[in-house]
Amino acid sequence: MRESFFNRRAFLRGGAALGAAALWTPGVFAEQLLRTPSLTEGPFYPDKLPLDTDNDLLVINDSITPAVGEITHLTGKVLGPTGSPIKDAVVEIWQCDAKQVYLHTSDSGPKAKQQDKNFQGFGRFTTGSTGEYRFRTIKPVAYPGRPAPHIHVKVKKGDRELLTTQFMVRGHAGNARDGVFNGTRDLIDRELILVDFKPIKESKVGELSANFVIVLGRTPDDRDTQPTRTRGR
Amino acid sequence: MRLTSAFLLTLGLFLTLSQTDAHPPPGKKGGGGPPGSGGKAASVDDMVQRLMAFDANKDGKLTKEELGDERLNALFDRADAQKHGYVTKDELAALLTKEAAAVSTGGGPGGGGPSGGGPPGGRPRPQPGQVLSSGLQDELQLTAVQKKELAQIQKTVDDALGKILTAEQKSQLEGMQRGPGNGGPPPR
Ligand SMILES: [Fe+2]
Repeated sequence: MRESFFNRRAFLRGGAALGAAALWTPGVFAEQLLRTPSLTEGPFYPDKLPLDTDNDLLVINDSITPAVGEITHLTGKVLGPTGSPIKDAVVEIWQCDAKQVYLHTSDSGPKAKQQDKNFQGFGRFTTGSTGEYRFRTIKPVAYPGRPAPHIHVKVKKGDRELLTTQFMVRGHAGNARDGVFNGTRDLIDRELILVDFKPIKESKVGELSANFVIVLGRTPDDRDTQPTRTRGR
Repeated sequence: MRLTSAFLLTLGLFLTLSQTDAHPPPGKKGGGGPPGSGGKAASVDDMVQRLMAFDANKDGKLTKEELGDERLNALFDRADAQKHGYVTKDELAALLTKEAAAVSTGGGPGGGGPSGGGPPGGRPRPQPGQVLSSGLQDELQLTAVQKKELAQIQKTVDDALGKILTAEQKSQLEGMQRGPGNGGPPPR
């Protein structure tokens, strides 16, 4: 990935390259932030986690062949209802590869031939004190049954699941025909799950940036215990 | 009714506390409760009120700074047709009315399949193979334990169904589950 605008090692270390893209302006007049709506998990949360679950979904372990697709630098923040950053939140994302196959035995099993074996399909990132997270992945694609390209997101802290949702590509024509998007009846909620995928000017290979801010309904520590299906990290 | 910001704060707290087990919002019954970021079709008035609550100095002009939320910049720009740098209640209402109308007319071509679909905002039709729809679950007021057990049953059904259907049949089934007026998302 020599041609990539962002050095992979720096990226994995959580280098500061993308910090500016993720700037957040907290409301000057402390109102409650609008909370990110929860959306269906769907059937393809990995049933067997991949060996590599880092935040670079383009490269599995030390493979030299990257995944197919439009490289996207996904950043964002996990915030509490008043805009305070949530530390130690585990953000998980999963999505199908550029060939429309999810990393899940019921999808990548029967579609083994179609699958892009170089796409990690799932990744994790644990937030620090700023609540920020970052991933390197591909721009999501539509697949049969889901005309809206989307990335699934789950936020956990400790053994608690705080939010399961997904976000879509702002301006994509498939959104209007998509069951999950249309199921979001509230127009304001729709805004909260639409994300711009913008070309990174400095990139010579057409990389994109995307920013998805996640606002939780309450601070994790007040929440009733809700054991998650996969323990720990 | 004019909401004061103190009431809004209480409301926010109430919503936060009452949505512990937030399920996919579509079809969720409001039960007469206050409007929130739930899944049912919010009225234009509700949405305008939620946004104007950010008009901190109460001058009737909401600025981007007062909004303080980059996620809403696109909506703001669409509402600020005159490019004043602020939006009024009326401008927001005009935009949201227009967009809500577009939503209720089906939101685009495609879909296909049977379009039975309940009334807008009503309980979503159960999906094929779904034991109890989320709307029905809410209506029956299942406990957390029951929901967990139901999820197990659903998983058994899904697995069994998944084994006998071909990939083509599965995507065909998904196609049928969509369609205008159907409040419930396909299971993905
Ligand atoms: Fe999906």
